[in-house]
Amino acid sequence: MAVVAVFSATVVASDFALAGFVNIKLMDTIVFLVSFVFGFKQGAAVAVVSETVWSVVSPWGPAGAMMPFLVGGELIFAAAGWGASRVWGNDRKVLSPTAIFIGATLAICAFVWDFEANAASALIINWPRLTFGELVAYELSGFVFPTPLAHELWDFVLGALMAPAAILAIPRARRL
Amino acid sequence: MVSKGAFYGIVAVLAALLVISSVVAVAYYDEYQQELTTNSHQSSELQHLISKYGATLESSVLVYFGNGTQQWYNDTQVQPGWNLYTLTLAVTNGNVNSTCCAYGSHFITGIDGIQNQPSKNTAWLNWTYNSTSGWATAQVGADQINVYNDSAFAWTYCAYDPITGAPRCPAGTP
Repeated sequence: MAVVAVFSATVVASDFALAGFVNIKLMDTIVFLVSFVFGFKQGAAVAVVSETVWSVVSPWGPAGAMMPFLVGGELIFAAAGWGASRVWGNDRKVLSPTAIFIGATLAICAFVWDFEANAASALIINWPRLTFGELVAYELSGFVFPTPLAHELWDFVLGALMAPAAILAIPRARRL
Repeated sequence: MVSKGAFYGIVAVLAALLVISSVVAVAYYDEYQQELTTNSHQSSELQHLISKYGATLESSVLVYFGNGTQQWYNDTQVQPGWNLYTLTLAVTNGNVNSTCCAYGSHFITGIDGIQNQPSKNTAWLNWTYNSTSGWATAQVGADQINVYNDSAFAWTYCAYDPITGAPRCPAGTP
């Protein structure tokens, strides 16, 4: 419970701090690394709590019907963190190829998140008559430079730099 | 032998590269489509204007010789891209003297045999006409004044203030 509270608060606070930078957030990386270090349930809980709170208190207004899709999208990072811990969990070095692998995993998750969010927007706006053409149009318009690219590159950089260091530091901090 | 972790890592890196390059490609495609749409719109607008006005434009030039004599060249046929210098050459049948091109433009020293007289502070001055504000002396050289459809210009041979360069004569009546 404490882990979820601390990291959810960190996510929401960082979201406010980075509110001026669209699609650049610490949320993805934090959810990923909580899941990596503490397990999928903890990561998923941080994802659900922080994304739910942010969807309500965001300075751009409540997310409304998009909220469940945003929360669901964030669970991708929790699942990826859990999966990554099973594959690379024993490699606890900051400077290693694993850092690049984690960054790449986060970039892929960011893409899936963008894709899912665009599809959700198309579904909500065109409900109940969403055509395949409208879906494709929403996906194309949602991937207009530079916002999604910034999201993926940012997640890659944070994943490669911050996540390995945090994965090392968090278990040590817990022992203090 | 590559370990399982390295194998999955390499797959993740390759997939991420594929994703990022795909996003760049989609963004580029979108920009390209937008430019294509804009260009298509401008092209059709240009076709419409050409069909409406024809390939040539019309412009008028007044040449005022400073001794009460003036000559209007009304509705002169000009090509798109012409400037006041080429227009002046056309209406005077090339009877223009000039030096080239100290400030990015020809400097007119004589028209129809009337030459500038620097010692008397007298020279050919060019004017542009605006339907709302009337005649105004041009602030740039003749090469830098583009000729548009229905535009009007004037050349006046008159004295000017040696300090400010302001003309001491009107452009004439349009």
